[in-house]
Amino acid sequence: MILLLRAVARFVVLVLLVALALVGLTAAVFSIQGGDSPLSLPGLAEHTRLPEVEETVGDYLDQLEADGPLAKISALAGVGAVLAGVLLLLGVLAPRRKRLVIFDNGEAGRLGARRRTLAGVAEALAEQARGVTQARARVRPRGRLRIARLRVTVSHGRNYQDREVEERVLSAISPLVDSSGLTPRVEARVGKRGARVE
Amino acid sequence: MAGVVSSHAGPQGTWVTADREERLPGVLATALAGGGYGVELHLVTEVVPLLPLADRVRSRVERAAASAGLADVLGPVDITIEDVVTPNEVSKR
Repeated sequence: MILLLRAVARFVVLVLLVALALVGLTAAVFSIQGGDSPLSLPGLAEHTRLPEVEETVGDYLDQLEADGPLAKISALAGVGAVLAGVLLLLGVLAPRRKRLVIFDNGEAGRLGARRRTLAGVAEALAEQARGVTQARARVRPRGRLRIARLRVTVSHGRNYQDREVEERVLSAISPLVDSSGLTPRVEARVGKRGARVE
Repeated sequence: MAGVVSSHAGPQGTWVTADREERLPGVLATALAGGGYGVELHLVTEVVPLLPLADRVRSRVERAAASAGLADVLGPVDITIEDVVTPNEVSKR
């Protein structure tokens, strides 16, 4: 969800910046001449039919002040605009997911590793365990503590018990766990019908 | 160094420091506000204990800085493990 909001926010920012640049360029071009010349600001107002727009907007504002369907629709549109603004702010301000797991951060320096890298190694090691047909791993930093969690979900055939597969996977990923200080959690379940077999 | 497979210059190949006629991929040296230089290393390692490996890498960097007369300006040495390769992958390389 946040990723989508971030992408939408970036797109909106891009569109607004392009629009702002075009408006600025237009204003600059129409500031070359003065008075009622073609390349003057009054000329620009005529090109964009500002007087007619003023009348249209004036009529709209009159209807908005009075009770009626237009006022209700406008109020709803205003609420929608506020919500859209809040969502865009979330997209811009929401913190990015940390890609690094920090193991140590002292005066001597920082030691970190990519979450995706650690998860990939965990999957590769878990799939070497007997009975495992598929493995998925996720690494999550645990708050401000240095220790991160490694969650491995594996599928296995029907002729194996969950518990024995979990123990094998724990043993298989132990080199990574020992080397990185990750806290492992393994879940094993029977693979779905049609899933890859050992 | 045992446990370190290679350095990693990043997805765009921009984590590189020029050292006279040599290019050092995966190494970044940054001037610090309080004086001195921080060093950033991006490494590909084997599946080995990472904290002891980091200590060994830092010790080697400190020794190299000392032998070059730069011990006083060496700041923190940040280490990022960009990839961890299994023994099978190491043998393929």
